[in-house]
Amino acid sequence: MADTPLTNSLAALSRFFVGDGTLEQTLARVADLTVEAVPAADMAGITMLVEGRGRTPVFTHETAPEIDQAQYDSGEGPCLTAFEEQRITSIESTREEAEWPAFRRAAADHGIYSTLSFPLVVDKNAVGAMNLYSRRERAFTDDDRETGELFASQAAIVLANAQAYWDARELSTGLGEAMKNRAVIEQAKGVLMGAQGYDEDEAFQVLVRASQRENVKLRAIAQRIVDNVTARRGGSKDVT
Amino acid sequence: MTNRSPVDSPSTVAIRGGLRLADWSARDLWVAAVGIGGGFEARDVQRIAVGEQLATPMEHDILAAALNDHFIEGRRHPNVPTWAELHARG
Repeated sequence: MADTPLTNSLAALSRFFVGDGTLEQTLARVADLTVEAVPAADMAGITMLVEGRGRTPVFTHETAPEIDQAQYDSGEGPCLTAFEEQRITSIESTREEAEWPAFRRAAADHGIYSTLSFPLVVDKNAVGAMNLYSRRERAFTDDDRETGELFASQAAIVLANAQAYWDARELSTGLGEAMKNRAVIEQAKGVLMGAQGYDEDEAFQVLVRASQRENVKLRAIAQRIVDNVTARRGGSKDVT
Repeated sequence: MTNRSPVDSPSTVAIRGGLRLADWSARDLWVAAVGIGGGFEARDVQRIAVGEQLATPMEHDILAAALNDHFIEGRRHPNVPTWAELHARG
Protein backbone atom coordinates (compact mmCIF):
# COMPACT_ATOMS: atom_id res chain seq x y z
CA MET A 1 0.00 0.00 0.00
CA ALA A 2 1.37 3.43 -0.91
CA ASP A 3 2.22 5.96 1.78
CA THR A 4 -0.58 8.53 1.74
CA PRO A 5 -2.12 10.64 4.49
CA LEU A 6 -5.06 8.21 4.52
CA THR A 7 -3.04 5.02 4.79
CA ASN A 8 -0.75 6.59 7.36
CA SER A 9 -3.73 7.67 9.46
CA LEU A 10 -5.51 4.35 9.16
CA ALA A 11 -2.31 2.53 10.06
CA ALA A 12 -1.90 4.76 13.10
CA LEU A 13 -5.51 4.14 14.04
CA SER A 14 -5.08 0.37 13.82
CA ARG A 15 -2.13 0.55 16.22
CA PHE A 16 -3.92 2.86 18.57
CA PHE A 17 -4.65 1.28 21.92
CA VAL A 18 -7.54 3.03 23.60
CA GLY A 19 -6.24 2.18 27.06
CA ASP A 20 -3.32 4.52 26.47
CA GLY A 21 -5.40 7.53 27.40
CA THR A 22 -8.71 8.81 28.65
CA LEU A 23 -11.75 8.71 26.41
CA GLU A 24 -11.23 12.40 25.64
CA GLN A 25 -7.61 11.79 24.69
CA THR A 26 -8.73 8.89 22.55
CA LEU A 27 -11.20 11.08 20.71
CA ALA A 28 -8.61 13.84 20.27
CA ARG A 29 -6.26 11.38 18.63
CA VAL A 30 -9.05 10.25 16.31
CA ALA A 31 -9.72 13.87 15.31
CA ASP A 32 -6.01 14.52 14.63
CA LEU A 33 -5.79 11.43 12.43
CA THR A 34 -8.88 12.52 10.52
CA VAL A 35 -7.37 15.89 9.62
CA GLU A 36 -4.24 14.10 8.43
CA ALA A 37 -6.38 11.74 6.34
CA VAL A 38 -8.30 14.54 4.61
CA PRO A 39 -5.83 17.27 3.63
CA ALA A 40 -8.62 19.65 2.54
CA ALA A 41 -9.73 19.80 6.18
CA ASP A 42 -8.16 22.60 8.20
CA MET A 43 -9.72 21.42 11.43
CA ALA A 44 -12.05 18.79 12.85
CA GLY A 45 -14.44 18.48 15.74
CA ILE A 46 -16.53 15.65 17.14
CA THR A 47 -20.13 16.31 18.06
CA MET A 48 -21.54 14.19 20.86
CA LEU A 49 -24.44 14.32 23.26
CA VAL A 50 -23.26 15.23 26.74
CA GLU A 51 -26.02 15.05 29.36
CA GLY A 52 -28.60 15.26 26.58
CA ARG A 53 -27.16 18.35 24.93
CA GLY A 54 -25.05 18.63 21.80
CA ARG A 55 -21.44 19.51 22.49
CA THR A 56 -18.07 19.44 20.78
CA PRO A 57 -15.87 17.97 23.52
CA VAL A 58 -13.02 17.21 21.13
CA PHE A 59 -11.51 19.42 18.45
CA THR A 60 -8.24 20.05 16.68
CA HIS A 61 -8.64 23.85 16.71
CA GLU A 62 -10.52 26.05 19.17
CA THR A 63 -12.55 27.56 16.32
CA ALA A 64 -14.50 24.31 15.85
CA PRO A 65 -16.45 24.38 19.13
CA GLU A 66 -17.07 28.12 18.74
CA ILE A 67 -18.73 27.55 15.38
CA ASP A 68 -20.60 24.48 16.61
CA GLN A 69 -22.13 26.42 19.47
CA ALA A 70 -24.28 28.27 16.94
CA GLN A 71 -25.96 25.04 15.92
CA TYR A 72 -26.37 23.82 19.48
CA ASP A 73 -28.01 27.16 20.36
CA SER A 74 -30.29 27.17 17.30
CA GLY A 75 -30.90 23.40 17.42
CA GLU A 76 -29.94 22.88 13.79
CA GLY A 77 -26.82 22.54 11.68
CA PRO A 78 -24.91 20.11 9.51
CA CYS A 79 -23.26 18.27 12.39
CA LEU A 80 -26.49 17.74 14.30
CA THR A 81 -28.23 16.63 11.11
CA ALA A 82 -25.42 14.17 10.31
CA PHE A 83 -25.72 12.80 13.84
CA GLU A 84 -29.52 12.69 14.11
CA GLU A 85 -30.31 11.53 10.57
CA GLN A 86 -27.22 9.33 10.18
CA ARG A 87 -26.26 10.82 6.84
CA ILE A 88 -23.36 12.80 5.45
CA THR A 89 -24.01 16.53 5.25
CA SER A 90 -22.00 19.29 3.64
CA ILE A 91 -21.96 23.02 2.96
CA GLU A 92 -20.27 24.03 -0.26
CA SER A 93 -20.08 27.68 0.75
CA THR A 94 -21.10 29.18 4.05
CA ARG A 95 -21.33 32.55 2.25
CA GLU A 96 -24.41 31.34 0.36
CA GLU A 97 -27.82 31.67 1.99
CA ALA A 98 -29.50 28.31 2.49
CA GLU A 99 -30.45 25.92 5.31
CA TRP A 100 -28.83 26.30 8.75
CA PRO A 101 -28.41 30.11 8.48
CA ALA A 102 -27.18 30.63 12.06
CA PHE A 103 -24.46 28.03 11.64
CA ARG A 104 -23.46 29.44 8.23
CA ARG A 105 -23.07 32.92 9.69
CA ALA A 106 -21.02 31.68 12.64
CA ALA A 107 -18.79 29.62 10.35
CA ALA A 108 -18.21 32.48 7.88
CA ASP A 109 -17.52 34.87 10.77
CA HIS A 110 -14.74 32.51 11.88
CA GLY A 111 -13.28 32.19 8.38
CA ILE A 112 -14.71 28.72 7.70
CA TYR A 113 -16.24 28.54 4.22
CA SER A 114 -17.02 24.88 3.64
CA THR A 115 -17.87 21.90 5.83
CA LEU A 116 -18.27 18.14 5.62
CA SER A 117 -19.89 16.11 8.42
CA PHE A 118 -20.01 12.34 8.88
CA PRO A 119 -22.22 10.39 11.25
CA LEU A 120 -20.32 8.03 13.54
CA VAL A 121 -22.46 4.91 13.48
CA VAL A 122 -21.97 1.63 15.33
CA ASP A 123 -24.51 -1.18 15.06
CA LYS A 124 -27.00 1.20 13.45
CA ASN A 125 -26.72 3.59 16.38
CA ALA A 126 -25.23 7.05 15.94
CA VAL A 127 -22.66 7.80 18.62
CA GLY A 128 -21.73 11.23 17.31
CA ALA A 129 -20.62 13.11 14.22
CA MET A 130 -17.23 14.05 12.89
CA ASN A 131 -17.08 17.49 11.34
CA LEU A 132 -14.43 18.71 8.96
CA TYR A 133 -14.00 22.44 8.35
CA SER A 134 -12.11 24.21 5.59
CA ARG A 135 -11.07 27.82 5.13
CA ARG A 136 -11.77 27.49 1.40
CA GLU A 137 -15.12 27.38 -0.37
CA ARG A 138 -15.90 24.09 -2.11
CA ALA A 139 -12.77 22.58 -0.61
CA PHE A 140 -14.02 19.01 -0.24
CA THR A 141 -13.96 16.77 -3.29
CA ASP A 142 -15.79 13.50 -3.91
CA ASP A 143 -12.54 11.73 -3.00
CA ASP A 144 -12.47 13.57 0.34
CA ARG A 145 -16.02 12.45 0.91
CA GLU A 146 -15.14 8.82 0.25
CA THR A 147 -11.98 9.06 2.32
CA GLY A 148 -13.80 10.74 5.16
CA GLU A 149 -16.57 8.18 5.10
CA LEU A 150 -14.08 5.34 5.29
CA PHE A 151 -12.26 7.05 8.08
CA ALA A 152 -15.43 7.91 10.00
CA SER A 153 -16.47 4.26 10.04
CA GLN A 154 -13.08 3.34 11.50
CA ALA A 155 -13.30 6.19 13.97
CA ALA A 156 -16.76 5.06 15.10
CA ILE A 157 -15.39 1.62 15.88
CA VAL A 158 -12.54 3.17 17.83
CA LEU A 159 -15.08 5.23 19.76
CA ALA A 160 -17.20 2.19 20.50
CA ASN A 161 -14.14 0.20 21.57
CA ALA A 162 -12.95 3.08 23.72
CA GLN A 163 -16.33 3.28 25.42
CA ALA A 164 -16.37 -0.48 25.95
CA TYR A 165 -12.83 -0.36 27.32
CA TRP A 166 -13.58 2.40 29.81
CA ASP A 167 -16.85 0.74 30.83
CA ALA A 168 -14.97 -2.49 31.51
CA ARG A 169 -12.22 -0.64 33.35
CA GLU A 170 -14.73 1.18 35.54
CA LEU A 171 -16.44 -2.13 36.30
CA SER A 172 -13.11 -3.75 37.09
CA THR A 173 -12.18 -0.94 39.48
CA GLY A 174 -15.58 -1.18 41.18
CA LEU A 175 -15.32 -4.93 41.56
CA GLY A 176 -11.77 -4.65 42.92
CA GLU A 177 -13.00 -2.33 45.63
CA ALA A 178 -16.01 -4.57 46.29
CA MET A 179 -13.82 -7.62 46.72
CA LYS A 180 -11.78 -5.87 49.41
CA ASN A 181 -15.01 -5.29 51.36
CA ARG A 182 -16.11 -8.84 50.75
CA ALA A 183 -12.94 -10.34 52.17
CA VAL A 184 -13.46 -8.61 55.52
CA ILE A 185 -17.16 -9.45 55.60
CA GLU A 186 -16.44 -13.12 54.86
CA GLN A 187 -13.88 -13.18 57.67
CA ALA A 188 -16.36 -11.64 60.09
CA LYS A 189 -19.03 -14.16 59.11
CA GLY A 190 -16.51 -16.92 59.76
CA VAL A 191 -15.79 -15.51 63.20
CA LEU A 192 -19.51 -15.39 64.05
CA MET A 193 -20.09 -18.90 62.74
CA GLY A 194 -17.20 -20.26 64.81
CA ALA A 195 -17.93 -18.31 67.96
CA GLN A 196 -21.71 -18.35 68.03
CA GLY A 197 -22.63 -21.43 66.02
CA TYR A 198 -24.52 -19.47 63.37
CA ASP A 199 -24.89 -20.74 59.82
CA GLU A 200 -23.69 -18.42 57.03
CA ASP A 201 -27.06 -16.76 56.45
CA GLU A 202 -27.59 -16.14 60.16
CA ALA A 203 -24.11 -14.66 60.48
CA PHE A 204 -24.88 -12.30 57.61
CA GLN A 205 -28.16 -11.23 59.25
CA VAL A 206 -26.30 -10.49 62.50
CA LEU A 207 -23.95 -8.20 60.60
CA VAL A 208 -26.82 -6.47 58.80
CA ARG A 209 -28.75 -5.88 62.04
CA ALA A 210 -25.65 -4.45 63.73
CA SER A 211 -25.04 -2.19 60.72
CA GLN A 212 -28.59 -0.86 60.73
CA ARG A 213 -28.78 -0.53 64.51
CA GLU A 214 -25.57 1.50 64.68
CA ASN A 215 -25.98 3.18 61.30
CA VAL A 216 -22.49 2.05 60.41
CA LYS A 217 -21.50 0.44 57.13
CA LEU A 218 -21.29 -3.35 56.98
CA ARG A 219 -17.61 -3.29 56.19
CA ALA A 220 -16.86 -1.24 59.32
CA ILE A 221 -18.88 -3.65 61.50
CA ALA A 222 -17.07 -6.60 59.94
CA GLN A 223 -13.69 -4.95 60.36
CA ARG A 224 -14.41 -4.31 64.03
CA ILE A 225 -15.27 -7.97 64.60
CA VAL A 226 -12.11 -9.15 62.87
CA ASP A 227 -10.01 -6.60 64.77
CA ASN A 228 -11.53 -7.64 68.10
CA VAL A 229 -10.77 -11.27 67.47
CA THR A 230 -7.28 -10.50 66.28
CA ALA A 231 -6.62 -8.39 69.38
CA ARG A 232 -8.02 -10.86 71.86
CA ARG A 233 -6.79 -14.08 70.27
CA GLY A 234 -9.28 -16.34 71.97
CA GLY A 235 -11.92 -13.80 72.08
CA SER A 236 -15.06 -12.52 73.54
CA LYS A 237 -18.40 -14.26 73.23
CA ASP A 238 -20.10 -11.06 72.15
CA VAL A 239 -18.04 -10.32 69.09
CA THR A 240 -20.43 -7.83 67.48
CA MET B 1 -45.59 -17.49 48.39
CA THR B 2 -48.11 -15.32 46.52
CA ASN B 3 -49.52 -15.73 43.02
CA ARG B 4 -48.28 -12.27 42.03
CA SER B 5 -45.90 -12.05 39.13
CA PRO B 6 -42.31 -11.10 40.02
CA VAL B 7 -42.77 -7.64 38.54
CA ASP B 8 -45.23 -6.49 41.20
CA SER B 9 -44.05 -8.64 44.11
CA PRO B 10 -43.21 -6.75 47.32
CA SER B 11 -39.57 -7.76 46.95
CA THR B 12 -39.26 -6.42 43.40
CA VAL B 13 -41.08 -3.21 44.25
CA ALA B 14 -38.80 -2.66 47.25
CA ILE B 15 -35.60 -3.35 45.31
CA ARG B 16 -36.71 -1.20 42.39
CA GLY B 17 -37.60 1.64 44.75
CA GLY B 18 -34.19 1.36 46.39
CA LEU B 19 -32.46 1.46 43.03
CA ARG B 20 -34.38 4.58 42.09
CA LEU B 21 -33.50 6.33 45.35
CA ALA B 22 -29.86 5.33 45.05
CA ASP B 23 -29.80 6.38 41.39
CA TRP B 24 -28.07 3.08 40.70
CA SER B 25 -28.14 0.77 37.70
CA ALA B 26 -28.65 -2.97 38.16
CA ARG B 27 -24.92 -3.32 37.52
CA ASP B 28 -24.10 -0.91 40.35
CA LEU B 29 -26.28 -3.00 42.64
CA TRP B 30 -24.62 -6.21 41.50
CA VAL B 31 -21.15 -4.85 42.27
CA ALA B 32 -22.27 -3.68 45.71
CA ALA B 33 -24.02 -6.98 46.43
CA VAL B 34 -20.96 -9.00 45.44
CA GLY B 35 -18.96 -6.74 47.74
CA ILE B 36 -21.00 -7.79 50.78
CA GLY B 37 -21.01 -11.49 49.98
CA GLY B 38 -23.63 -11.99 47.28
CA GLY B 39 -22.96 -14.91 44.98
CA PHE B 40 -25.24 -14.17 42.06
CA GLU B 41 -24.44 -13.25 38.49
CA ALA B 42 -24.94 -9.77 37.05
CA ARG B 43 -27.75 -11.00 34.82
CA ASP B 44 -29.65 -12.36 37.84
CA VAL B 45 -29.60 -8.92 39.47
CA GLN B 46 -30.71 -7.38 36.18
CA ARG B 47 -33.61 -9.83 35.92
CA ILE B 48 -34.60 -9.27 39.55
CA ALA B 49 -34.45 -5.48 39.12
CA VAL B 50 -36.81 -5.49 36.14
CA GLY B 51 -39.14 -8.06 37.65
CA GLU B 52 -38.34 -10.94 35.33
CA GLN B 53 -37.12 -13.06 38.23
CA LEU B 54 -38.17 -13.19 41.87
CA ALA B 55 -35.32 -13.00 44.37
CA THR B 56 -35.03 -15.75 46.96
CA PRO B 57 -35.33 -14.50 50.55
CA MET B 58 -31.55 -14.55 50.96
CA GLU B 59 -30.96 -12.82 47.63
CA HIS B 60 -33.48 -10.16 48.54
CA ASP B 61 -31.82 -9.56 51.89
CA ILE B 62 -28.37 -9.23 50.32
CA LEU B 63 -29.66 -6.77 47.70
CA ALA B 64 -31.53 -4.79 50.37
CA ALA B 65 -28.43 -4.78 52.56
CA ALA B 66 -26.30 -3.53 49.65
CA LEU B 67 -28.72 -0.66 49.07
CA ASN B 68 -29.05 0.16 52.76
CA ASP B 69 -25.28 0.08 53.15
CA HIS B 70 -25.10 2.72 50.42
CA PHE B 71 -27.81 4.81 52.06
CA ILE B 72 -25.87 4.90 55.33
CA GLU B 73 -23.36 7.17 53.60
CA GLY B 74 -26.02 9.64 52.56
CA ARG B 75 -28.15 9.25 55.72
CA ARG B 76 -31.18 10.46 53.83
CA HIS B 77 -33.26 7.44 52.78
CA PRO B 78 -35.47 4.99 54.60
CA ASN B 79 -34.24 1.42 54.65
CA VAL B 80 -35.18 -1.11 52.02
CA PRO B 81 -37.07 -3.71 54.08
CA THR B 82 -35.73 -7.21 54.54
CA TRP B 83 -37.70 -10.19 53.25
CA ALA B 84 -38.99 -10.93 56.78
CA GLU B 85 -40.07 -7.30 57.29
CA LEU B 86 -41.90 -7.28 53.95
CA HIS B 87 -43.83 -10.43 54.75
CA ALA B 88 -44.52 -9.48 58.36
CA ARG B 89 -46.45 -6.53 56.92
CA GLY B 90 -48.67 -8.93 55.02
